[in-house]
Amino acid sequence: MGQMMRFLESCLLMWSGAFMLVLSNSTLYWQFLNPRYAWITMVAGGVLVVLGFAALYNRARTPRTDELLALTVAAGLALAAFVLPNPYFAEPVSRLDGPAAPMVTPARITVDGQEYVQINLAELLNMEGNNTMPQNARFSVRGQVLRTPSLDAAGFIAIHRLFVACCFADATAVGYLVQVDDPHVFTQGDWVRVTGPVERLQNGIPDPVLAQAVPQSAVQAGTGENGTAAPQPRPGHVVATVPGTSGSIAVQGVLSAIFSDVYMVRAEHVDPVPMPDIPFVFSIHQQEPYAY
Amino acid sequence: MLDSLSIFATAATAIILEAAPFLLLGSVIGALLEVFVSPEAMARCIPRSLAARVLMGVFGGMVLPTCECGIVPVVRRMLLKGVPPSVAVPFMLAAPVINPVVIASTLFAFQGDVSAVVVRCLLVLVPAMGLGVALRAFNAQDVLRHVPIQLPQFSAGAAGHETHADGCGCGCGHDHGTSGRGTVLSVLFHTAAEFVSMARFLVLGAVVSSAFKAFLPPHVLSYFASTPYLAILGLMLLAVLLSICSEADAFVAKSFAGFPFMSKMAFLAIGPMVDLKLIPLFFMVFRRRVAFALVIVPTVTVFFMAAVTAYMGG
Repeated sequence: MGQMMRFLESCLLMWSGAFMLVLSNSTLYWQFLNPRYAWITMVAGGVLVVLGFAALYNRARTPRTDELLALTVAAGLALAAFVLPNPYFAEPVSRLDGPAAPMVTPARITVDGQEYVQINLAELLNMEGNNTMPQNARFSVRGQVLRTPSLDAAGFIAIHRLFVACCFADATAVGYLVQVDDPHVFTQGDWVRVTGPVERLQNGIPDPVLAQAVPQSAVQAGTGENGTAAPQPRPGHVVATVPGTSGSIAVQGVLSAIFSDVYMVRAEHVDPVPMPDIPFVFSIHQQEPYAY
Repeated sequence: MLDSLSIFATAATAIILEAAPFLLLGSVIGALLEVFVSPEAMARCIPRSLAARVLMGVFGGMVLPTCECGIVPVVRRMLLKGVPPSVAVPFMLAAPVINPVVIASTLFAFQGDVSAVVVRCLLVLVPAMGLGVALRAFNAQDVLRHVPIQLPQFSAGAAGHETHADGCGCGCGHDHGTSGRGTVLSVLFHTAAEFVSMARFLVLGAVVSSAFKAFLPPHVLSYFASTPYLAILGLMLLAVLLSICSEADAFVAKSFAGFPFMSKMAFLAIGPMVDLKLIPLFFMVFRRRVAFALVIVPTVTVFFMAAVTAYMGG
């Protein structure tokens, strides 16, 4: 019995190590961990294979049943992660032909004669947080469409992606509201590329002219200068009350989501795009060229 | 439902894949300590004064950065080698936070806000130092449970080869050989046994925390944002349940829009000290009273400090 248990332990350790070795050298690694940690997983996998092999010769040891059960459960979870359809990517990526080649995206693109800076949603939020959002800048961002009844009524959609710092378990949704002509033509979960200027969002009045006229503190407080009522929009400009984004927009599978309460993207073009090879955001660049 | 199951399986696998290398590293360090470092050599490195010992423990992570996933086996071996609990326990609590990697990730996540780093470190330092002082009169036998990991079975006679080198502190009472091959095998056997033993709790913690991530409705969090004290309590509980690695939790904490600053700091402080991976390990490795202290003292201290700071307008 002890020999059988030892053999099982050895097999489970070697399987775990082999799984880590193969995964770290495949195009599937990003589904679980930030690709920059692939080398750590590979080294650990190699060590586990060696330990599994050595464990065969440790005739003095009899592993416990719960220890083997834990390793078996871990293997079962990994299998389930590959078999079950994941809501964040429509089709499971199933290539085992080596690590993903680094993607080279142009720093800027031109659409209908207008140039846009390609940036990802996390980088845009980072820029906002650092107070380095340039005036009159035009951006190109990608993300999945998210709609709610209140956003539909206000003439907005939201686009979001998952930002992963280390592993999928710490994923945070990041996104922006996008002002569109008709939210109803968009399907929840579809990948789109939005190109347009980033403008201040002040109580549902996306008016860069007003934003320039009102001090920053008043904009954030939702009032005009010296605590007076918010300035009126330009004649003919549709006023929409956009729900506050804090805590009101939930993304499946993540407990936290960051959507800007200060800026939105006024869409000049919204084009359907295929899901990126790596739909999660893993890196944030501080300047061009952005990771996109 | 299938979507939630997929997220659950992916998150659990991700946690295991992320933590396993650090648990393995901790097991390797523990095995190397076991095989190569004698209690006498360890004793020469330990300062005499209590203050110096506690400070050595809390700032040891700046020299030996260690994730909370792998720190318990390292600390267990340190204690078996004669490192006093007044050094080892503060190291266990503080090293996952007070180290260059986590400090850098916190700074980045909070966009250069040094106060986030300072507050986070302070919230960890106080309970770590407090426990170090409280355990000043204790030795390893007073804090550790006497449940060796199959160590008595590592006998030269039964194995047919030498599995321990000089400096073994396992108390198995057998003769130890010092041949090279025996030393390598000894390290491998100790590492494998330690890793497999600790992996049980890693898998358990990963399963439970992923279940919360996948099945807990996001709007539940909003209930805790109503008052500062409830926010602190809610995020501390979430930190324990989610069991996020200390190198990544700063980004998660930053994302809790609508929660006050001190509640996010409490989240960052309590997670690396007490979470679903660590709690069962504490009870497996330490005596029950010590294990309870390792859970309760940091929890109460962090909550109290965060609540007082929030009351004072922090």
